[in-house]
Amino acid sequence: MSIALAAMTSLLSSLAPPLSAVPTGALSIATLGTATILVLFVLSLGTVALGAIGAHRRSERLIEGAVQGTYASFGLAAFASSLIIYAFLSGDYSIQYVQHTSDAAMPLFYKITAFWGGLDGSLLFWVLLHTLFGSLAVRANRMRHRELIPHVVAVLATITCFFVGLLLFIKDPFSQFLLEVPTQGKGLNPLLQNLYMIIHPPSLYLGYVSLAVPYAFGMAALFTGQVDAAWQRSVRRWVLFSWMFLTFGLILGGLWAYEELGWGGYWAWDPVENAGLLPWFTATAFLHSVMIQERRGMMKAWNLVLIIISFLLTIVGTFMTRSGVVQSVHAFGSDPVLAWTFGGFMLVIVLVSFGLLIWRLPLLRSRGELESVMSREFAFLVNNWLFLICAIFVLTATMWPTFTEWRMILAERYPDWMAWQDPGERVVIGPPFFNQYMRPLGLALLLLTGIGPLLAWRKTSTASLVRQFAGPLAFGVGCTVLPWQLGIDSPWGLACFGLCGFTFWTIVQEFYRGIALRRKQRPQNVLEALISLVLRARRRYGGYIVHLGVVLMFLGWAGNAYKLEKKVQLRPGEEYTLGAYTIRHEGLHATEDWQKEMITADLSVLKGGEVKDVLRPARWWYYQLPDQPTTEVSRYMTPGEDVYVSMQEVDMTSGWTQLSLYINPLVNWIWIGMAVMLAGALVCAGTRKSEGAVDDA
Amino acid sequence: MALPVTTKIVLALAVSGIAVYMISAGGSEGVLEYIYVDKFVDEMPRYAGRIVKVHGTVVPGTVQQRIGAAGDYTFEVEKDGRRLPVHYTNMVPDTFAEGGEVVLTGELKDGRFESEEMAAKCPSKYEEQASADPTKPPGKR
Repeated sequence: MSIALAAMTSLLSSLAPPLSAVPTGALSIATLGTATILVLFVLSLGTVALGAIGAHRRSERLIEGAVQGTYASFGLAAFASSLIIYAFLSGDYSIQYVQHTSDAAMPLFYKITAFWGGLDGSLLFWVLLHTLFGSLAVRANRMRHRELIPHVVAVLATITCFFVGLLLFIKDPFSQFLLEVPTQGKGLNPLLQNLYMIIHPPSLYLGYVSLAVPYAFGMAALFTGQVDAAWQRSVRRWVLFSWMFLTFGLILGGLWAYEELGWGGYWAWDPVENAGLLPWFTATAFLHSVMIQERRGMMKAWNLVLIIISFLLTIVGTFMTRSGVVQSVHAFGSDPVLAWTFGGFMLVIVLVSFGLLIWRLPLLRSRGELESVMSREFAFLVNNWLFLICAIFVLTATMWPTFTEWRMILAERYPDWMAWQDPGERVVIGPPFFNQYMRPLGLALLLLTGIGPLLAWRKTSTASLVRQFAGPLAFGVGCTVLPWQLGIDSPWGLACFGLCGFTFWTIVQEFYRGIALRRKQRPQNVLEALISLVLRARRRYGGYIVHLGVVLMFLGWAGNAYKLEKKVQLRPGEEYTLGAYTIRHEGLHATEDWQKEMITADLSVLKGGEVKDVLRPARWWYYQLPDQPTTEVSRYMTPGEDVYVSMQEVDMTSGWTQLSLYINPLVNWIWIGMAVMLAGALVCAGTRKSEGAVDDA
Repeated sequence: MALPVTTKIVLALAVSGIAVYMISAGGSEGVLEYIYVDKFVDEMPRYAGRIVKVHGTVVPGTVQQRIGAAGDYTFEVEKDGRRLPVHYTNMVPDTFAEGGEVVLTGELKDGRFESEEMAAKCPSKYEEQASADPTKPPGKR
């Protein structure tokens, strides 16, 4: 479609001159783009009004108008997006944004994705996705939930207004150079020109933006007072969908850091990474607690709180990463206007959402009550607390440096007020601090992953406890003792192995018992029984598959407990032994292509005297950024470990090469775990409506 | 039937106990003061003997590397005219460049900032890019 639109655009611009009042004599893409955004803004305002008035007067006509307005705003957002893509493709460097993030030498693919490569464009991309999701959600639910729809439309359009307003008044992606128009683009940073960077931000974005839909439904439920399970049924799959994209985006970001940055790790608790993690915590909590509401009619208010917080955290995350409020190694321009605007928007969300919630509290009373701590409800409750604690902890620790900075600024401006305390210093909070607290929290969550599904609803009997826990406990103990015997002495590592074993066995046990039962009922082979088992209760077994992925990821993290790292200098012919591997320097060679010059080292990886692989780490000097050579990592991957090499410095004349060597045990299980989690989530997402009753039995 | 009161009390005690333990035992490893070079230079005695983070711009022309050693650099960082000599012994990140902003972790020893940990401003898509000067030759060999 965008090609068709682009073609239309080019047609328009060729027809334009006689119509135009622009001094340059042509209706430029930029003018058309800004005009489209203006129309979109007015349209969204109209949609809010139609939805709100339509709901108030119960007027079908007004409501239908609001629904059509939602679709139309997607159309306009798509048109504006195709205009900017067209500007990238045609190299229209009169537009500042295009000039900043692309150049003529960039491959076609990167030119298209440069659309979301910078702040202004990424906001437009946000609007595009938001209006798309809004249209899809409204289309899917407009018959089923007629009462809710006008409110949903109004809330979604209000959010559209905010972001389109940002585009219009603060960050117009179509703004032009006023005086001299450059003839060349600056190009996109080479570090960002790779496949992960193309998939990872939009994936996080999809997760982020789609969380607005559940929020709109939650708000509509509060407005109308229809706070029973109806709104959730429409929302549960949306949250699952958001959750999948968040998970995918987060882990892909880790994989990018691991493969591109060359420091041997994948997660550093950087504010930008944390911003993506925050809504993930609360969305995960929601996906669990929503089951309690379905089964027991409990936690109605709590589920709404989680939905509100998840959406709020997407805005907080955007605020943290885009406004320059939080110091980060990812350099963002500091932008006070944007910061205040976002701050105001967040305040409005908090006041309106929680105000409505408090107003509707009488309707949100639980039907059921917690009967025993040995129940699945209680396990879910603890799971929710832990996820919320994770979110609060990460948010506070991420924002803490900013708070200390504000304290200093206040002390400078109002010395009298602040005299009672020492203004102190700015502080920064590094990965060790996060790890200290998140490690036990993570392991507690892993333990619950194992325990929860084994407990019955309401109350678990002692006999059932023994039957359920004996096997997993024994296996867990075995998984702790074995690595200990093999010489691993980190208590965290051992605890992680043990809990992985415990949880793994609970999952195996569930599948084993389910399959055995089915085969008793009818003659089937194991595979048939497995497939029919999963298909009959997709949410339950899909959930177990997700849990299996979680176990595999924790296994990958456990490997951290005994990773090895060493910085060495080698000349050709020399070798170095790290752990079970020997690295031998075979030589250097220099090559170049049209974008860059490259120096590559050939390194043989030997294990037991046998050459396993030849690694080729490199340094690349892009002509575009000659001062910042990039490090190209090379690794030898096995299920047990990665041999990971990056080249830090190299001297062609003497052959002297400075290398960072890492042996990262089990690290690949993190990516495998991600794939398993996503597969499980897909199984869950495929739930048919008729299945609801038999699930989670 | 709801949970008995004793169970609730035990739960509350357990939760607060764990929280108190975690906060007291966890400590504050990884929490460091973060100071800009100008302030650091002005109040140098105050920071002596403490591990801190210092943020400044690498002064062009001051970077020297000892070839043959595993990442051994000396350079100066600067803010508002105050300069601080740095001795850095580790690999430098890809984004380290003269004139670029760095955050160094380390401590003051004999008037020189000794550091083994550096974060150089990471390229982000959401950044106005430093324009590359096409007249400069490609990086060092």
